[in-house]
Amino acid sequence: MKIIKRPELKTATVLTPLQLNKIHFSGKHTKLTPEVLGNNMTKATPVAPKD
Amino acid sequence: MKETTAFNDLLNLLEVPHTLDYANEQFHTMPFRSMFGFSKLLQRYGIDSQGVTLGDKSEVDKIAPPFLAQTGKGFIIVTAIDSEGVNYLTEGVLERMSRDEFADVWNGFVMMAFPTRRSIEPHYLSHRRTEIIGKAKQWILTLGVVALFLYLFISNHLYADWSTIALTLFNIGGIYLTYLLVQKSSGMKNRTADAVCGVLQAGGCDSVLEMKASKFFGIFGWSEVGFSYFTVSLLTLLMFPQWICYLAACNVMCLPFTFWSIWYQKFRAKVWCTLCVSVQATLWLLFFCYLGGGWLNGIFPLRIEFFVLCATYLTTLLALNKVLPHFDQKIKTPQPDEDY
Repeated sequence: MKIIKRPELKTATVLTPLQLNKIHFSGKHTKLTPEVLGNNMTKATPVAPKD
Repeated sequence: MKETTAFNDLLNLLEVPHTLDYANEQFHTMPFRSMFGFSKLLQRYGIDSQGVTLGDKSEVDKIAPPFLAQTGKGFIIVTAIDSEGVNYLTEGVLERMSRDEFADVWNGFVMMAFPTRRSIEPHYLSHRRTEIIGKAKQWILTLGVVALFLYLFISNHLYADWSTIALTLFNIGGIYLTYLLVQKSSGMKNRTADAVCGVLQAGGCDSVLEMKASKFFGIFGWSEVGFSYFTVSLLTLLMFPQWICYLAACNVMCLPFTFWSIWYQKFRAKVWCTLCVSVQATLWLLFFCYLGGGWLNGIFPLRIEFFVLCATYLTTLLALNKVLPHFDQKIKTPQPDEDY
């Protein structure tokens, strides 16, 4: 299998299980081509870490 | 082609031994349909994972693909990233976008997976054996159907007349078209059906199939009626070609429906269902084959075989109507909430 090295990310915030559970999969099967992604510039709100 | 999921795609890219059916099943049945559930699923395969949000998006260059990235419309699997652009998988299809586009649509969240040499699907060998046996059964079934078809086609001399050759081909075509319609009605995803449906009018098939008029007396879907009709017609043609005149009679009885269907789509629904129109066209092509072959001549007097044929159509329709709800994805799979 492929070996992936853990990167050292200075600005990364690791999400807790609770925060991960708030990021859902949708049931749609839409192919997210660049056109589809570009037509709707709405960004998903990243889960803000609790202080 | 079998359906793929983000989980299966990621496992392929990570080169973790797994089987398609089990991986898909695990993905569809995970208790938490979230990144948390996804991480637990990866854990079951011996793959450690981490979900992070990057404050500085340029740090994405430090992350070795493949990884999941979240956009406003859903997740993509980044497979390669360079100064010019980003390669990614979406619904099993490879796409590419520029770095600027990626920076615009990506919200900074990534899910990274870290397999080890011990990462493998639970009970992999058993699943793999099942997968191989399943493929072998599929091949043998296909060969059996083709062999039987050829035997009947040749032994009953259906190749000897242009009309019977054409009838065979059009019935096969009708079976395929109504099969796609049945899948669409049941909510089963089929890329070919989606592609065909987009020919006359995008979304036309879905719109028409959701209407009350798509059901015969509200009980039988017209797609089921069509599928039963073409299947029984083909089997009767192959096994009892001496009844071909009664097949012609039944075909003539179906023709008024084609006018109603076209009228309904044009004036009531005001939307065209490509598959439905194709089925109507197939019925007419069959009629012209029966007419051209002279098969309408021997219809009368009607003998008991005609009524046996009608009973066969009805019985097949009833059986299909009973079986289909078990495959109905619209009943089984509740639509999840929108998240983006």
